[in-house]
Amino acid sequence: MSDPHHRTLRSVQLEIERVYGLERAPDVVDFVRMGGESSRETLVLRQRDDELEIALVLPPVKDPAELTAPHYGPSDAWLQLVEGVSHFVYVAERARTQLPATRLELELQAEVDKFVLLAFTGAPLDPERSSALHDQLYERVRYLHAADTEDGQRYRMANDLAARFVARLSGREDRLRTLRRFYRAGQAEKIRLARAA
Amino acid sequence: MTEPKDAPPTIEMASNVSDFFGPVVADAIKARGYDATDAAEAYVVALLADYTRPGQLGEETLSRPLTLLLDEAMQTPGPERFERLRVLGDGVLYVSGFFGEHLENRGVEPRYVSALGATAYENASAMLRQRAKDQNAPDLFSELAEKFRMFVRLLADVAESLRARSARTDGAVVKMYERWLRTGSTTLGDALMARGMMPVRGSGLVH
Repeated sequence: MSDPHHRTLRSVQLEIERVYGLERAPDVVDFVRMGGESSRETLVLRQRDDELEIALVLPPVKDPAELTAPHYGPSDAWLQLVEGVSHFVYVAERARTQLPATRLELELQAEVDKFVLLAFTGAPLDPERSSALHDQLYERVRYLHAADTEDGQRYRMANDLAARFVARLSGREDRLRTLRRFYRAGQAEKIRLARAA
Repeated sequence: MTEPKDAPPTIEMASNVSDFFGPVVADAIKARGYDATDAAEAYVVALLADYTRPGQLGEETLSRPLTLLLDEAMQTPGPERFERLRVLGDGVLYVSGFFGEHLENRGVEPRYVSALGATAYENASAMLRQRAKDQNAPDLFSELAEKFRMFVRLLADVAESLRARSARTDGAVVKMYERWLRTGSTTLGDALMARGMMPVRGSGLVH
């Protein structure tokens, strides 16, 4: 795995943990495996007795610049990396607190994390850029799974809920508190919070 | 003054290297009021974590003319160009922060070095902006370029903080005091005061 991968993986993990005020999870770099040329980000989990085995598979990247996101206009490689780290941190946190996690929760949280990292951790985005980012992440999206499949329905629902939830965060004074409450909520509460938006 | 035989171990325990550097960097930013975004702070922590690995010590930055390295990076075609610019910016930032004295002892002007590091990051940023539809979109590397000297001071503070933390014997504290006399580092001054010492520079008065 290349240095740019290391740097970005650790940066993203640190930013997620800081935003949500989490205890430090193990270094994600130690759990990453490189996939094949046409692979997509995948978090592999295996539970045996009291042990949880985790591996984050990422596709190789030919151009290191793709692993560094301008705060507006991220690459597919960066978005896949963020999604993978988001899943990893979420699973680690839920395992630490001995709470269950559903696949919808993982996808929904990852969709929220992408916007949060791009809109709230770097230089502030003006409303126009924030709106354009929202449009890029949630409106102009292409799904790999058909709408009538279980995976397809889950990804579309996660995308829709995340879009509604983050849309009301900009400019709010209690943004951080809202984000942290959302992060620690289970699936039903997450859906309720998002739909209340 | 002698070194105690039962000096405590100087091995810092942390579950991962980011764990170790994260609080040190956060403390330095808070204590000195540095204006860094969360993204930049996380990048600096990840940079330090990378540089703890063997072979990452920026040897090239220390051993070859920086203008030559920048020129080579700028002449590099394709995707490798971005990576060489980033690595050069990282190397200059790390070396300037952690080994600033070494550079000055070699007769290298710190402002000149910082300008080169900032240029490397600025060109990396420009490559990113070319891909974005919004040419003026903010990004991490433009922040690192614009505030390069501030980030050098941040890393210098981190370095001094780590030196202060590792000073656990009388001899090490004396060395820390001598270093404070040379540099006037606020971080070292604070560390000396935390150990009950009031660091004062000689006034030249005869008592």
